[in-house]
Amino acid sequence: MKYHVWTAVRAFAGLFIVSSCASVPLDGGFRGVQEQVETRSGAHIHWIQGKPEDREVVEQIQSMLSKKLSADEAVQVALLNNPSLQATFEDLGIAQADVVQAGLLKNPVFAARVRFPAQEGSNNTEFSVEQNFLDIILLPARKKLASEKFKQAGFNVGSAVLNLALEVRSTYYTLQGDQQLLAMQRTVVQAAESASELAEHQHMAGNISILDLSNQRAAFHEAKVRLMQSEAGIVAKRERLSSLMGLAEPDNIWKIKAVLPELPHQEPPSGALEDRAISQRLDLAAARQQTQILQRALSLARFGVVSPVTLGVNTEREADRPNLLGPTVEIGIPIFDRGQAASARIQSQLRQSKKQLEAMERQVRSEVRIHRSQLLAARARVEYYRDNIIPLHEQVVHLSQRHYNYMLKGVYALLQAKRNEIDVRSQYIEALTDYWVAQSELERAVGGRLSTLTRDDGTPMKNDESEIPPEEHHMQHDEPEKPPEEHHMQHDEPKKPPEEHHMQHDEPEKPPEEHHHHQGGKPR
Amino acid sequence: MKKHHFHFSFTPLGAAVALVLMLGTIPLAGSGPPGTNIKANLPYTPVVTPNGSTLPWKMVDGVKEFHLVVEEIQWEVAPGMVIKAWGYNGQTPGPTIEAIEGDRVRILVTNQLPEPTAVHWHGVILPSGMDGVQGLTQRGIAPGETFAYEFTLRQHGTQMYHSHGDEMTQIGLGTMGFFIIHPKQRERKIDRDFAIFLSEWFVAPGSSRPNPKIMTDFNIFTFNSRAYPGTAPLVARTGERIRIRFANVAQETHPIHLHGHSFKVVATDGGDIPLSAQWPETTVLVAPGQTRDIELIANPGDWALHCHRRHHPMNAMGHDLPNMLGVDQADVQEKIRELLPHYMAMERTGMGGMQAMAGHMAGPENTLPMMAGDGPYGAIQMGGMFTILKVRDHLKAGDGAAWYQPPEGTVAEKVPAGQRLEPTKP
Ligand SMILES: [Cu+2]
Repeated sequence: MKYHVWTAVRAFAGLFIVSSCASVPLDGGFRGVQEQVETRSGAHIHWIQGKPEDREVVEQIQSMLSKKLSADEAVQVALLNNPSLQATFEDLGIAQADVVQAGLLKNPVFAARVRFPAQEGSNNTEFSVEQNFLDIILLPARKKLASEKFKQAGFNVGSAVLNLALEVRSTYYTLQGDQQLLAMQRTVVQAAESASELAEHQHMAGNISILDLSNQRAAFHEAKVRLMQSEAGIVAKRERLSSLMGLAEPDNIWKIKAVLPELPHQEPPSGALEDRAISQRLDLAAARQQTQILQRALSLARFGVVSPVTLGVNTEREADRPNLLGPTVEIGIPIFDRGQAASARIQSQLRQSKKQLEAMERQVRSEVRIHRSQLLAARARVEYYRDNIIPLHEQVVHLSQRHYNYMLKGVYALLQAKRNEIDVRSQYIEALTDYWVAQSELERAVGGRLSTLTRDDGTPMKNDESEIPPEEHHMQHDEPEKPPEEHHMQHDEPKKPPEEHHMQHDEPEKPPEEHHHHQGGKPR
Repeated sequence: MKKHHFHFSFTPLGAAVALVLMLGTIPLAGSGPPGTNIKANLPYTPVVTPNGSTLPWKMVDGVKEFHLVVEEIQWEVAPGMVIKAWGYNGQTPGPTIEAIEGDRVRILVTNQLPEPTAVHWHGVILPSGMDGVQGLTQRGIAPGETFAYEFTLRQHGTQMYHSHGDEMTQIGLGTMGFFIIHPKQRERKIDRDFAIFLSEWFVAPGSSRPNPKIMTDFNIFTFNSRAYPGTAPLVARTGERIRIRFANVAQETHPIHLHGHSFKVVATDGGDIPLSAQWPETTVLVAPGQTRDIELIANPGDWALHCHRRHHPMNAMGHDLPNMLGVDQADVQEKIRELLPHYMAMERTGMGGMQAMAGHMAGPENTLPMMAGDGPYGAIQMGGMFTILKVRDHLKAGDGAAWYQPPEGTVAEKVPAGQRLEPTKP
């Protein structure tokens, strides 16, 4: 008996080995996500799994935090350090386990039966090992289904990474803008304080009434309380960025760069962006993957019509007869449930997911257009402040100073002119913040950075500088590995607005990285 | 005193030019007014209009014929400030008309202004229809038209001519001039005869067109439409009898004060004041619509001649400025400089430092600093209605630019150290 049992077991073991050797390498999925994220965001992700590399990552984070963080670095810290993101990475582990699970056959059922004769006689013993045959047949399909799901998990994780990157980026810019506004508000307070102090001295000298002095004092204190309000707002924004970067209280000594980047020279054309969004957005990829999954599920369900077929070996021994060994078959008869409901359900889901994908694609295109138009509107405002309003207010301050020199204007009027200038500079900063937030939003809509055209600080990327004439430089590609759809941005170049051309051609000798400095109204 | 070189200062060169211009109209060697046929033997001492000129004439059938063209002009108030004024024959005040009692005069007036005008002969006794009041005594002279005024002079004295159409604009922009009628014979010879028109303007700092709508808040005050340091000095010899005629058709009264002399008001636009009725003065008040002639015997020296309203011998200054006198600004100045690097606290000790400051700090375009002028002892700190009567024992070329050399011991000086300085007690 023993012998026969082991024969049966061995036969199944062979089957098992054949079927289950398709285990997924432990971080293979993560590497894919890493690549997807890197091509789209330029940032690196790391899954902390208690490996020696973790140490390097901690050091990398520490070194970035020790200097003033750029937006890219803040994103990088978040991607390496955000605990929620690390939690999301486990989705990959879970999906990976599912793949392994799908490659495992159901354990065979071993049965033993002993029958005792009613009268005298020997016992009848029977052993059987049974395995659901369908399970074996469906195993490859199930594995495929699980690996499609695994792929989808990868897309979802990637999408979560990019969303976090976006949130960090726009939080970063908002904080940066607010910091600049705060600095300006401090200047306003300084102006108000100077005016108030002058009034104090005037009053002490017997030159003004307490009434006039009180007005100046009140203006100063009002400016100060507005500053206090802004300072509190900054604390909250910092805390938000801190938590996105996964930093706990003791690490909160980080600083970000003081000044928002200036405008890049031009925007990528919108047509290219929409196509790029469709091809690179990972949530779209996940949605597309859903139809794949359902397709697989459908074929699996169609198999399911065959209904359970159980194959087995049965060995039976009776004392006085030779052992019997023979196969067993059990087949479910698909009369009542031929799997039609399950299959119809999946078909509906499949159609539904295709429609949803279509809707999503339209939505994505629309998002790209909306955010691009917001970006252009913010750019127009920034340029208007930079090229018209700020220079005019600088002129007003300059001329007010001249009027002051000739005793045609008083010091309070001069200080007021300066305050007005600071006000429009603040409005400029607000517009510039809007621009960078809109750019982050556009990047989210496109599903990756627009950085083929600009660097983080807004300057054009440069690669082979020596070969490129300066005025064309900013359109050049810096990263040859970029997805092909970006290449045709270059062909769209003649469509860019004429005024951007003229900005360029004004000073062709200037090195490209200085282009954005040549505007008269360069805000400080 | 540190000397600042700034473009509107009264440089010796500028003064020399002014003097040459002025001497050109002084009757040396019997020369007549420029452009006249009569070279010598005028029965009167021709009038000098500092910074201005005398209108030439010609005899036409026994009538002295003058020609005035009224037009918009570019007028330099002082170096560094040119305004769009309206004037006659390229100047404001227009060239001085001189004639003799009994003359028959014909004055042609050509209007090159963008609107009608008429010329009123202020104080001249004449037929009503020649009085030049637009709408009342005549039709307005349309742009491009020339009108003739003709009348016989039945009086002598310092009269005026000025626009009598849209006066707010036309007089406000400078359309006026002297009409001086000399007596056939003068009892006392006048050695020097000067004519100074008093005006005020509002020219927004940094602009160039006077605003004729301003009625009280003027910021530029002028002698013959020039503001110090653009005013030419009056030059005379010690002991000479000097007549100075003042005229005013503007908005404000001007108490004109002359240093170093006691003078008498000898005539008004109504005629001569009898000797017995004249009384000594150092300041003569000239109201709008009036002329006043003063006479004096020149004393040697450099003598200020100016309006005595404090803000008239100065140039534009803001009216609503905070009062910083006695205000310690040292610490605040540093704070403000962080915002405005060119900021300089002013006026703690008064406004006098402003002239030095204006010497190295830029002001608005086309705007004079409120005070200017460097004298032999430092900043003169004046502007507007201010000039200098320069009286020398011996006249020579260049006296207008040179400073008076006072005899030894006649200049106020610092009391030597160690001398008792106790104030006298009552
Ligand atoms: Cu005055």
